[in-house]
Amino acid sequence: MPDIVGEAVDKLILLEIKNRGMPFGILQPLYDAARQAAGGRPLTMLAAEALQRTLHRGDTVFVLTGAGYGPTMPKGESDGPPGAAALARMLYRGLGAVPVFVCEACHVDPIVAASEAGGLMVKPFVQARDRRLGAALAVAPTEQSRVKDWVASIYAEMRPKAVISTERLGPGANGIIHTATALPLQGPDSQFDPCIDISAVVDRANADGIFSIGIGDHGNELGFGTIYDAVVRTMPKGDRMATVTRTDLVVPAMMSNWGCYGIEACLAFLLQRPDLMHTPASEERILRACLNAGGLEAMFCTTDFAVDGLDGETSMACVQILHNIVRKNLEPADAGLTH
Amino acid sequence: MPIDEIVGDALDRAVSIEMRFAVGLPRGVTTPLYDAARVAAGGSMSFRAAQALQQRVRRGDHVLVVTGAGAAPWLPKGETDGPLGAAALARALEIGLGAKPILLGEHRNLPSTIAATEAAGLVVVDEATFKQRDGCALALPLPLGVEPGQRIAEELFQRFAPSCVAFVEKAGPNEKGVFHSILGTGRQPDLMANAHFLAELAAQRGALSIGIGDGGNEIGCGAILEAVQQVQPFGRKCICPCGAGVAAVTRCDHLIFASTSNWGAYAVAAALAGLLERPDALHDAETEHRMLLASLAGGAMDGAYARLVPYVDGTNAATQASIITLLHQIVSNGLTRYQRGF
Repeated sequence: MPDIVGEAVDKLILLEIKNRGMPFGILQPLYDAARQAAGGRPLTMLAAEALQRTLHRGDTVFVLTGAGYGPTMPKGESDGPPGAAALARMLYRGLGAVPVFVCEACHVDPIVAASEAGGLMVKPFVQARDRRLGAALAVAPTEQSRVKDWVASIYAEMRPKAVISTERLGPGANGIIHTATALPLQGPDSQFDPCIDISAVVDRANADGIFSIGIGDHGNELGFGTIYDAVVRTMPKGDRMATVTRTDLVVPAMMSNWGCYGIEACLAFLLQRPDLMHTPASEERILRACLNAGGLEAMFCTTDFAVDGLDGETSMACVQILHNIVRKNLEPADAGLTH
Repeated sequence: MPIDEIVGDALDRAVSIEMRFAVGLPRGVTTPLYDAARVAAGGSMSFRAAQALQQRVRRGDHVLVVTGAGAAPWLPKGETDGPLGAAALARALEIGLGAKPILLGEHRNLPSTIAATEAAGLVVVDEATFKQRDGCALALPLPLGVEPGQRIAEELFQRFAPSCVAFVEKAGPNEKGVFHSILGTGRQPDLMANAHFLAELAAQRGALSIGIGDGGNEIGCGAILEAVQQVQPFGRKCICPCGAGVAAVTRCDHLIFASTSNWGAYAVAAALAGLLERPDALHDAETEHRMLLASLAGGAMDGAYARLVPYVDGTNAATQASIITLLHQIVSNGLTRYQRGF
């Protein structure tokens, strides 16, 4: 039965709805490769099952996010924080986990705004861990040279049992992070504000055997190194933009937010707790909070109610349909009207 | 530039996401049947149907839109799946192509179909008015039974010479001529409009035929007969005395297989909107809500709950509106070519 739900969820979050000026016809090949690499079952359900297996009450889970840099999007974009917030809340409410948003300093505002708009408060780590008051933050240093020590320190302090990355960019084969259209975000040719590479957080999880998930929509996001060849084959300038950083599971989606929502929905199904899913109304609150805090839509780089060129209403519709998939699949035919 | 087939595939996929009860109705069937229908179509189902409509339906042509599922005692005035799809398709053909839609269904199904069509903004008028003006539709009852079904098909083709016949959630007979619910119960032909004769005549007279279904017991699903027999629990063997299974044998030029037939019709309207670069040929989410409430007022019930509630095949009103929102976004972004500068 989980696979019937997983198939429906995967199909929904994989609908390719981008404007035709962006790379197109890419999602299915990326998905096929990711699904094959994972053994053939629906990816969102696999991710949810693994998280349910791995995370127990009080366990820390790292949630990496944050993409977009000045001058276009100085505090990042509206794809990333909303998904991270919604999934983190489900892990907190559904599994009792302690989510820690791992990000760069420039991306903190929209992440905190999205999370708190969705009903997950952001607290100092000790309060989140010991008093279960919500999520916490682990903010990367602004000098690349200090990242290695920082990674060691957050692992020592927070001891994550799982690492999830959504819409968080990873380095390509040449060691440099690129945009989806293969523009360099680091090095002398970058035309953007400084970008810190935090892929070492994922590398450490892989080295320690800590379960990891990478969610993305183009193939330059952390985790897609697992299907590197498919990204290179599928994406325009794939050999430049594709990341080499791998995760145990890769979940491609129309936008990374939707990938998170899909995993959130599958967890709600497994826990039989559809009431824990965020609603279309809270989706609107989360998106607006993210936008207002500077996490801009990434087509025109504005506070317009949109994500990756899709209207906010479309993300609300996606959330509504996810609710419906989960609730129907938990509903006996003779239960009467339950939603 | 109009949409292409990649966009059509996204439309097809958006309307074939399965959302079924945990128990009761067949589950896990939509994906394999969608896959079979996609193979049979050789491309995007909604896109190819819309392309054919664009090529073959001329301004002023009559088009027959046939719907109506369910029967007494559970669904005495039909169900909400069917009338809304028929209304949306009639509206799209009228707005997009200037066609003159004629809605057809059993007498018991017409009130909800007419109500949904009018809520979609297309007034349903008498035949004299229908001949005089544009922007309206005609609705006619289909008689029950085999011979009356044959006669009315001939008569309708003679009177209206339609260039297209479309079937939305319209039950078709199996190889023994018996109609079935998806749960394998039989319905004798004299309880049903035998609308499949319209599909047969369309093939003979060179009219385009389109079938839209969500189970495999509907007109048009003959194109995936073997898959339905394999996949549906009662596909090969039903529980009625005929024993020949629920799979419908009637084929159409185009089959659109969806998780709810209404949504399949919306996908065709969306594809037509994209091909014509006229997004308004697909109704909007607010109109969808009005159509649903109107069809209820006309007596249509949700087919899964068999109750007079604003649901379609067990999914709520907000979900219908969300499907429309998705389809509109697929079309609008499919028509947009914006290259950001980074």
